[in-house]
Amino acid sequence: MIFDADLRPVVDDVLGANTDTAPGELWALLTELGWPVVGVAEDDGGAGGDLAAVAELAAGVGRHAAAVPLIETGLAAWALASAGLPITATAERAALALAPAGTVEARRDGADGDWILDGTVPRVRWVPEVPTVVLVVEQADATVVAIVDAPPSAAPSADPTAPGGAAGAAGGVERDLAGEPVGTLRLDGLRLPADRVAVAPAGLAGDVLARVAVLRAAAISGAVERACTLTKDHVSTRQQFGRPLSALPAVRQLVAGLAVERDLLDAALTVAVTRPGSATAAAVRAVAARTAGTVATDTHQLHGAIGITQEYPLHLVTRRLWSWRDDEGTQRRWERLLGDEVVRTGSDEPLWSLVTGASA
Amino acid sequence: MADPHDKLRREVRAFVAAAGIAARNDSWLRGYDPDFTRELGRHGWIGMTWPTEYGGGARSNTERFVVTEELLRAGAPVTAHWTADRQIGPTILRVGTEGQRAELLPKICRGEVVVGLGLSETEAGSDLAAVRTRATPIDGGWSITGAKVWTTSAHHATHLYILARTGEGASKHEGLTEFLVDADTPGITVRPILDLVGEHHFNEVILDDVHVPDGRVLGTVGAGWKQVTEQLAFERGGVERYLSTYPVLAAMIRTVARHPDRAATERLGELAARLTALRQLGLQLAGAIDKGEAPVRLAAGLKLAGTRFEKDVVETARYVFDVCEGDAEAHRLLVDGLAVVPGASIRGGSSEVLYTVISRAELPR
Repeated sequence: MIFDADLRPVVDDVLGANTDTAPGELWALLTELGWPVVGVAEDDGGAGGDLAAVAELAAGVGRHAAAVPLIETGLAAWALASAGLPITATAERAALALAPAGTVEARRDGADGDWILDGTVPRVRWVPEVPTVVLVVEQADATVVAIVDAPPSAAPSADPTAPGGAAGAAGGVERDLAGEPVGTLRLDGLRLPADRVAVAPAGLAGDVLARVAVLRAAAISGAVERACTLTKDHVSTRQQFGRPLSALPAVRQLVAGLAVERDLLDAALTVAVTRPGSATAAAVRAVAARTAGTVATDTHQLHGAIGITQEYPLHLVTRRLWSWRDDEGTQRRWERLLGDEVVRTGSDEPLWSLVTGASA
Repeated sequence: MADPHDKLRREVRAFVAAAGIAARNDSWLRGYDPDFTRELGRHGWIGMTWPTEYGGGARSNTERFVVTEELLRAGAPVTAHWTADRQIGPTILRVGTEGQRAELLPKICRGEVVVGLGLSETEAGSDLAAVRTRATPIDGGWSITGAKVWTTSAHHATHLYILARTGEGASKHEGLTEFLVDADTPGITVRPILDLVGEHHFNEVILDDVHVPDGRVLGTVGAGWKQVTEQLAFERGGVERYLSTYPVLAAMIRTVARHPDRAATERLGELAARLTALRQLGLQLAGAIDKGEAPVRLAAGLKLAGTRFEKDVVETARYVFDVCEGDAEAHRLLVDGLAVVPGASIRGGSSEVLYTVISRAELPR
């Protein structure tokens, strides 16, 4: 999938050449290029660029299995800018924590006083390895966006009563199947000064969720592309029964099926990037989750035993597929979200408008 | 992004609403209504992409795509002109003579031409190049003898498209020629083949020394295989490959809105997500055809995934109409849909053949 034809070769050059570079060093390079803040307007301190450009970067993270919080930092910066907060807090890498309505309480200590946050957000990607978490709290009539300092990696829990600090995962860093840290953000009466919190319109929480969904799907599409490429190379070169595996009809059929799934995901991504919105985002996220599972299963099957070794690179993308597909909700959750939209009026208008972009 | 074809879409919707259509599945294959077809012709919605000098609308394939998707959404009866509009007209434009274009295209645009597609034979289905129907040269033309099967609408046809062998070559792909035969030519017998629920859409067509003038050869003698393969990109890549059971899907939405159920809502969400991706592929295909490409691989992928989707719509409806108490109309559409889906992944290229087409592109030998 090509979102941005000019950017894609640069992404391949940079991420492809640095697969063994230390994360800190790679991050410095990415920061120099301005990539963490692509998609944030230049007036807000970002590097500019549209959703297609950000999606191209996310797909690159998937294609090259880049172990850096590029997607999450960009999302965090975008959320801050959207809420009118400065994005400088994300400069040294950041995570994004989404708190659905009712999960985190945000209140002020007096009309102009500090903010006090209570609640828990589980499974926040890159916590506690990143120094900052941007927390997006959904409320009935507003979205509260807050800048929370995360404790340094593997450090004991910070004092939750200290200003600006929140407790991360206790007892070391938890890693998910992708090998990336995933931690719980605990806010036990955390106090934040007023300049680290903003109240934005209610719609922002949904906009952030839609953007997360599209970029996660783009990252999945990158990993899918790589898994398919590795597989085609493998079945074309691996000899069995005196000929390449790709001569076997059963193998050819599975490879063709993979190509169709890949093309469908790319098509759904095209819709989500050209017609952004909560429904097209939910659609692509549901398709991505489904495709991730199918592709991981079938590419492993086609690789045989070599695919399940540490030495061979397939696991770098399949482990991410298994992990990423369940971020911010599994396939069923996105399908329910979309289903609610589709049955909203009882006529097929919402479905038809999702599918075709036509107005009712 | 605003829909650039909003006005056209609204015109089609208004027309469809005024026509008071009883939606049915597979309405492009099982909805023969010559009056409706002629009405569409009067609106300029047949041969939309063809040059105006032949009665066409000189519009884009993307615009045609918008019209066809609105018609199938409504389950409108469009069988009478479907084959002529979708693939025979474009073939005449691409390879036909000036005389054929001038004679046939305006008639197709007016909705006066019904084409029966004589490709398959008893011994040539998925292996299309195995056709045995033979055309032998006679004075001023050809004599065609053989038999075709699964010819939709042959009993209504004004013209029969016939793929016949005119010579032998090193491979069976050589020596094939396309003909467009007037259906009232002596020597043609049409016999009904009833489908599994007893409806008459298919036919067997027997050709016994049918005399066809030279002017009815389509394109180049012996180049039929190349021509027919290009034609298949049009046949496989359209909206009818994923919207054939749309009336069932719309009935599910109605039903779940009346009797909410979480699992049913999730299943509808799944179908909606898949349909979004399929429709985008279809739009990309229409765009590719506008650029003069014949996107054979993309069309194969769309048909493969699209017909699987059509089946899953009907399978999902069994559950939804059960737990959410589908009404009589919903159950009628479900029964209708069940009868439709077995053929969907066979006609126009079986899924197994499509896998072969796609794997050839993915894994070149």
